Amino acid sequence: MKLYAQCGHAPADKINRGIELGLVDGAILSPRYLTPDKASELIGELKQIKDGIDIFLDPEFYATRYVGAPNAQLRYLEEWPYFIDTKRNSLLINSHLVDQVLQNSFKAQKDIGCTQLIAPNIYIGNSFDSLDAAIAISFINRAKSVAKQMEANLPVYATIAAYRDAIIHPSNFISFLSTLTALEFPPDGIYSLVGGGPADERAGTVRSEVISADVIAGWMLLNHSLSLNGIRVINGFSDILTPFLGAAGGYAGASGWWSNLQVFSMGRYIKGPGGGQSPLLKYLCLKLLNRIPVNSLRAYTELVPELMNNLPTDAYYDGKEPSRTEEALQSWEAIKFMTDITISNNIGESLERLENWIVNAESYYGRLNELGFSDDFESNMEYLQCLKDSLMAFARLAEL
Amino acid sequence: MEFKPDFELLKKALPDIKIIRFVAMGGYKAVYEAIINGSKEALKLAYIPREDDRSEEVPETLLRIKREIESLNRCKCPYLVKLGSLQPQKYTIGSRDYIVYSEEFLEGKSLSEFIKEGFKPTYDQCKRLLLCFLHVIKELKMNKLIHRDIKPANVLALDDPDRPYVVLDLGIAFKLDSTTITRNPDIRMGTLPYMPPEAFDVNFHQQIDFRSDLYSAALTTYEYASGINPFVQGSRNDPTTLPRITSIIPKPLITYRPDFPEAFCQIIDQLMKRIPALRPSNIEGLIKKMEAL
Repeated sequence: MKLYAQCGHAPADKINRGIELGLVDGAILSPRYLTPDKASELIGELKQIKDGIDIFLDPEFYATRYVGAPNAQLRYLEEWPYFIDTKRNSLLINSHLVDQVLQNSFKAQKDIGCTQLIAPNIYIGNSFDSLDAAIAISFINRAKSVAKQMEANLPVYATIAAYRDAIIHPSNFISFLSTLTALEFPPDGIYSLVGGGPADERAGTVRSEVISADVIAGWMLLNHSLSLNGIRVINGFSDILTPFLGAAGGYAGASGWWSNLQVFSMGRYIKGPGGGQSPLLKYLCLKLLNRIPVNSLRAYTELVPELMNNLPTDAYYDGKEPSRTEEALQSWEAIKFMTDITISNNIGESLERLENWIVNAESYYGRLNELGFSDDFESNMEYLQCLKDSLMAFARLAEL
Repeated sequence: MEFKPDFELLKKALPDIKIIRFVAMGGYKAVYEAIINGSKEALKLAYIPREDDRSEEVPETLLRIKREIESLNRCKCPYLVKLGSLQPQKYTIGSRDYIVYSEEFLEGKSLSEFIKEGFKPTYDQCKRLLLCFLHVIKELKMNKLIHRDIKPANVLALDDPDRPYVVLDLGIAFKLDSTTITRNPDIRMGTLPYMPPEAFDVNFHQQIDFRSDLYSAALTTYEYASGINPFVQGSRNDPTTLPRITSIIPKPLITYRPDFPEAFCQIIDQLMKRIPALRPSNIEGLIKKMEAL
């Protein structure tokens, strides 16, 4: 399974180093933080680091719903030629508008040198049985044909961006999947985004609304069903859930350096309360399946040294504070490592490995609790229980 | 059976056709072995109920036959039965009305007969059967058709390496993007133990597509290979059949046929999933995968 850098604010040299060290297989750029010129420049730079890396641009067309909103924060998005507010009803009625949006977006991505294309789409709010879902299917259905007409000659990934509530209604979601897997001209793949609420912007993966057994199981089902049908799935903002989605058949996952690059949320496009402190430096501890602040890491590992991942990037935390870049590299390496060792060709075996991993994490939390580190013990156990439940829920949905 | 005409009356009504013997009957049709225009063919009689005849609407039976013939004319797959030389014509035999037409006569036994006899097919036979099904479903899909009645009784095993298995009876085939023939919109067409779970969904018209045929084809192969229909306990019309179709996960085929390659068994198991989105739908890809096995 591949892992991509989910890009956002203040990349500095994070993506470059990640590619250089082979910790990520490419990058998903955000036009919100890059003008077309800057994006083109960055892509040129990345291609020079390593040949054959995958470079995508998430067109973030789903954010056009906020164009003109007084509290919108779209940054550079409005400088991209395809990013034009298009009324939902117009997209529903005029199929040529869908083609036009696809064309403009593909052209922009080709012009800046992306190696693969991500088709724009709208956001599916509360249900897959909705106008939003109907329009979304239309974008997915047309993506490959439009790219072919343009002679784009690049793999095409269609976007499915959905709010977590839409996924937890299985009958509508399954019906959507049935439509998707029977398309006459399917795209080469899907770029899937599962969103939490606005609070998830700063919550981090573990405390986000995406961490729900039904949501994770549904997301896994999407990966499973599409992979069975030869459609690759790139999971944006999948972070620590990457191995779970990979076990279900996912092709790639992605994660970034800030918490809002580790969980997808539409909240990012709306101005929040603002201010606050810079986030704490953290370490992605695989044994705990969680990110822990550097200070806690020191305290825990003094008593339970095996909590370290034993991976090369651990060195960044050896008696010093890592830089933000090093923090990102450590996180990517940990996700990649866990993904590599938990996913096998046999889905049952992968799910069993993940379950064992969670059970181990529970016992580590138990030990820490016994040693007096009881902060968030209950909520962390709840989180792990939720991961375990998601495996069971997925197995049920996938009829395993 | 009520609608089957008297043999002598039938021969009298069709003097140009040499009717050799009665072969089989099902639904609203009876089949005879006959010599038509000098060659052996399967003579088919489709009964048109009188109440339909009195109605101002075109009888459902007529529409079904029209569709079946149109479908068979369009499909060129060798693993689908071919039409014969007799074009459909209406006859009154005794006091009943029939549509009479012909199909090629195929010398072979149906899979249901093999299953009844406890025949244990080889892996190669099962592989060829599934490949035949895949080619048939691919052809039907291209013509926007769904067979809806793939089952062991509708498959003949022939002693012909070019046509090892032939699928029969497009009598209840469904044409996508077309008007429905069934008058009662709530009626689910098919043979219960082979009907896919989505056929029992409230919105079944929206749910059924070529993957429903893939399901029935896999189930037929499963039953042929194992001798077991996992959804039937006791008789085929047992009231538990329907809830079993919509709720149980059949035992993996490998359990019954450990001598078969695991990859083949997995394909069959996956095609029998309750959710259509979990059935591999790339038929071309499946054919390639099967051929590579």
